[in-house]
Formats: sequence, structure tokens, C-alpha cells
Amino acid sequence: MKLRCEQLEMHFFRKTGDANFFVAVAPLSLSLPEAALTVLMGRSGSGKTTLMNMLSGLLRSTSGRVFLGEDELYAMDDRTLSRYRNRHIAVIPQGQSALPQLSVMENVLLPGMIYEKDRRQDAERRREAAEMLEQLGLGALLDVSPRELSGGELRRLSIARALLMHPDVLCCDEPTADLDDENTRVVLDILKKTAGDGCTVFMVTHEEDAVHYADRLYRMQSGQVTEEK
Amino acid sequence: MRHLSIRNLTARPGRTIALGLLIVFLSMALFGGSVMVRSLNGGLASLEARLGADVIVVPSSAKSSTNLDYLFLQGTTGYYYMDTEKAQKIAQTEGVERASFQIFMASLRASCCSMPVQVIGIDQDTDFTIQPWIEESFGRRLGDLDVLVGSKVNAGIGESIRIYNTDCPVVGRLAATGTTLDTGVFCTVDTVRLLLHAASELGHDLKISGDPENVVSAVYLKVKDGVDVQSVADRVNVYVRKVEAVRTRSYITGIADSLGGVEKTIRTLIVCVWILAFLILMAAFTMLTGERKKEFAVLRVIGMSRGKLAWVLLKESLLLSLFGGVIGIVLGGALTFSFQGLIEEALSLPFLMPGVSELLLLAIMTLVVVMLVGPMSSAVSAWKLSRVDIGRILREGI
Repeated sequence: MKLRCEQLEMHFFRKTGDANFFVAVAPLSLSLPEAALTVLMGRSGSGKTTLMNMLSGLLRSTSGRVFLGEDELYAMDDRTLSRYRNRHIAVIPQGQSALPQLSVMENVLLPGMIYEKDRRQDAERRREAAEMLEQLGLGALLDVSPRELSGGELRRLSIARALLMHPDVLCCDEPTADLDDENTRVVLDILKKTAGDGCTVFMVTHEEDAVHYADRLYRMQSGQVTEEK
Repeated sequence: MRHLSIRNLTARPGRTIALGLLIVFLSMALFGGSVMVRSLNGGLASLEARLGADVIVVPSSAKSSTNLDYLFLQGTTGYYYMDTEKAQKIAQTEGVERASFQIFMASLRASCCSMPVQVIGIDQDTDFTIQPWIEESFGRRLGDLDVLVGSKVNAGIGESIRIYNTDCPVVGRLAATGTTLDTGVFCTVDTVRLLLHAASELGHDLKISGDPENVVSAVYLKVKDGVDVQSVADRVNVYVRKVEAVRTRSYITGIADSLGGVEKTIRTLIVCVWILAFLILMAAFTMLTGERKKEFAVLRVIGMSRGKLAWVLLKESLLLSLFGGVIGIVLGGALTFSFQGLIEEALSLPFLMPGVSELLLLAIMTLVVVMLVGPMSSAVSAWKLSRVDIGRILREGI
């Protein structure tokens, strides 16, 4: 499904000179095609993460609208939007996002267990999760606690969790941070393949290598977005 | 997902135990306190029912040989006697509807008897104070030497108690009253007289002036409807020499007043403990909210709604309240049972533990209240947490 926004804008309250707010994202209309990997690059503080959070339904914008297909995200109430996000939009957030009280396998299975009551699918999900974790080099760590994982392993865990949701849209915030070259390539290959399978993939990154994988490339500076590719 | 709350609790045992202990303390205070209040009320009601009489008349010597307060408060008897003629005169006092007498003897010296007991002889034809209780528990008339034992007397039905070399078969056990009557042995007036003779033959000086056949220890009076009880007591005091007539109601009211004071103190303490525990729990949950912000942001990111998130937190506090509440009730009950005697002694008031069904009801009520307070104390945190700006936390980095 195509993800698009119309006149999306974000202000944050902050005393800046004469103003009480600063513009994190200037009014922006954007359309992210399906089955494509869209990359957004930019310096720290340029507004990339804020834009990604707004596009993924995590952060309500100051103004403007976000649509996935024909569905307007912020027209939904929290319950509907949360369920909708769980079904259609996966997010790989910045930093480490595993729940320490669950095992690696349970962390990966968690999104699918929030609303699903059908336990008959458990075995199938587990098999699929094991394959995904194997592919990301975590096959031997299924039952360990995330506390025992390195930064790079935790990042790969987040990626596996997001991909197992089979989302229509995948938003990734620096998915290759903390990864070595080999794992960076593995992750970028997986994201490219995911896009090739029909998913709308939106990646925010500093990783210059990502440029080679991008079907569409944007750069962001001081809240302004420009298209490069 | 169904087990996420349980996993959250078991993953941090230190935190869970600390919160659980607070709840244990909370429910222990409520249950233990409630049982104490109920026991004191029960003891008073039981004593009131046992006394039954409007006026009790004892020889003036009773004042020096025993503390009258104990007779009325606890049912503790002693050695004091008056002539039956005097008892009949008292019974004929104007305004008296019914009169009955009792004879007391205490076998406190271990040398005389198989155990130290207080023996209370009743006139089965006229008694209206002990008899209803006996009928309720025993249901028959007592024969010569037959004895009924109070709930705390260590003798079973079919066994015998040896009092002044006389074997008295135990024919029944009476229901608990929460007073020292529970350590009493009840028999007919004739049996007590036989025992008095036996004691005298053994050379024990029971300080009886006159023939044991012609003495009584106390006369119990029921006043006619519409007649002023105090005026009957006054009449007895004026017209019968060397006796002390006392209104039982004034004693009961006195006890009720002091019981009210004790009850008020216990209730105040319970309320204080609850307020304190509630505030501590609320503070603990608020601190945890800050600590767990990132964890909950992750759950929001993967599509958990605010409502579900709040429910996860509430379920955690519900589980904690359930387990803490049950443990607290068991501990509170065990402590109250174990220290029942000490409490009774310290308060010097009749103390009758509620029955199993009432205890069960109190336990359920305690559990319900604990299971309301626990989640209530976490509700504010749950609400705040569910309103957390995921975007901001994500910007700060998970």
C-alpha cells in the first residue's frame, strides 16, 4: 500500500530566539511508493526521525494528514490506530527495543500475540520466527534473554520482530547502526528483498551504502526534504 | 500476551517482592484488625446473652473476695455465699418477674482436682441465664454429678473430671463465649452441694458460714416489663442486708463504651496503615512508571493501544494484590489466632473469635478491598504511562 502525506508539519514547543517553538518538519507532501525502498538521509537533528514517526502513526503532527492507501491514520482513535499499526505498519526504532523479561523468540513473536487469539498459529509463527532469526544470525540465541545480546544482535532482533509482522509499511530508523559491514549488508539485503516482496520500506539512515539500495532517495536538512533520486 | 503481566512480575523479583510485601502488610492489618473488632463485639454480645439477667445480686463479701468487674465482664466466679432465705427474699422483691440462683465454687488448687476449674451450679427449674445456652449446646437436663464443660476445658465427653475426690462424668461441651465461662464446669445446684460436702470432708476451708445445703452464690433477677431496673436493684440493696445488687446493663454499657474506644483505636490504626500503604504503593508505582517508560514505549511501537497498556499494568497490580492479599489474610488470621490469649489478656475484655463462615466473609471482603486499592494506587501511573508521548521517548532513544 502506498504511504503518503499531505502538508505534514511538526512544531515543537521550545524557546528559540523570539519564538516559543521550532519547526522540526516544514510543511511537506510526500508519497512513498509500494514495493520500493525509500531512503531518507540527513544530519542529526534534521527532523528525519520525527518525520518517520509521523508517517508511521506514532507521532501526531501539528498539521497535515497521513494516508496509508485510502486510510487516514490520524483520523482513527488510539485503539483503532494501534490495531491498524499492528497489522499494517512495522517500526524499527532507534536504539535497543527488546523487552528484557522475554526471550529473544518471545520478543520476536510479541507483536503477533497482542491481538491474535488463535493459538493454533503459534507453531507456524515459531517456525517462521526461527527461520528469520537464523537468517539474521541469531539462530543460536532463541531462548536467551536480550540482556545477554550485544548491541548489533539487539538491532537484528528488532529487525526480525518488524519483518515477522509482514507489514505493508516498514519504517526503519537507523537499522544498520551498531552493525558491522557484513551484517549491514545482510540487513540492507533483507530490506531490499522485503521491498521487492511488495512492502513499502522507508529507511532513515546515515549509512552511505544505503544509497546503492535505495529505489528513491531523499535528503533532509532543517526540516526541509528534497528528492535526490 | 496473556502472560506478559506475569512475566513482568517474575522478571524483577526484588521489585515484585517489595511491592508484594506492602500489600501483604496492608491486608494483614485490615484482616487482623477486622477479626479483632469482630471478636470484641462477639465477646460482648455473647456475654450480654449469657448474663441475660437485669440485676445480679451477690453477697457483700463478694466485693472483697473477687472483683465484681470480672464477674460481669468475664463471668469469673469466686467463693462467696449467702443463705437461701436471703435469696428467696431477694426473689420476692417487688417488680421481679423471674429469679434464679447459682452456686459457685472454684477448684483452683491442683491438689484437689484433676484440673483447676470454676464450677457453676445452676437451678435447672428456674435458670434463665445459662440454661438457654445449655439447651442450645446440650439439649437435655443434667443428672446428679453430670457436668458440662466450657469450650476451653481440657476434658472430652465421656471422660470424667475429678473434683475433691469425686468423679464427675462430662456429658457435653458448650459453645465458646469468649469469656472465662469457657473454662467453667456447669452442673446442677445439687452437684455443687455434693462437691462442697466432699471438699469439707477433705478438710478444705471454703469459707462457707452455715450448711452447704442452704447457701447460694448469686441471685439473677429478670425485671417485669415497664418496671425500672435501677429501682429494683435499689430496693434489694435497701431491704436485704449484706448484699450487693448491680444492674448488668450498666456494666454491659460500660464495656460497650470501653469496647467502642478500643474499636475506634483499631479502626483509626487500620485507616492510617491503609492511607500510608496506599501512598507508598502510589509512590512506588509512580517511580516504576519512570523506570519502565521505555519498555512501554516499545509495546506502543509494536501496536499496543493505550487501553491495553494500562490493562497490562493494572493486571500486574491485580495479581500482586491477589497474592499479597491472600498471604496477608493467612498471616493476619494466623497471628490473631496465635495471640488471641494475649490480646484477650491485654484488653481485659471478652474476646470471641468469629465462626468459620464469618471469617471467610471477612477474608473475602478484605481481598476485595485490597484488590480495589492495589489497582487504584497504580491507576494514575497506568493512565500517565498510557499517555506517554512515544515520539518523544523514541527521540530520546529506547
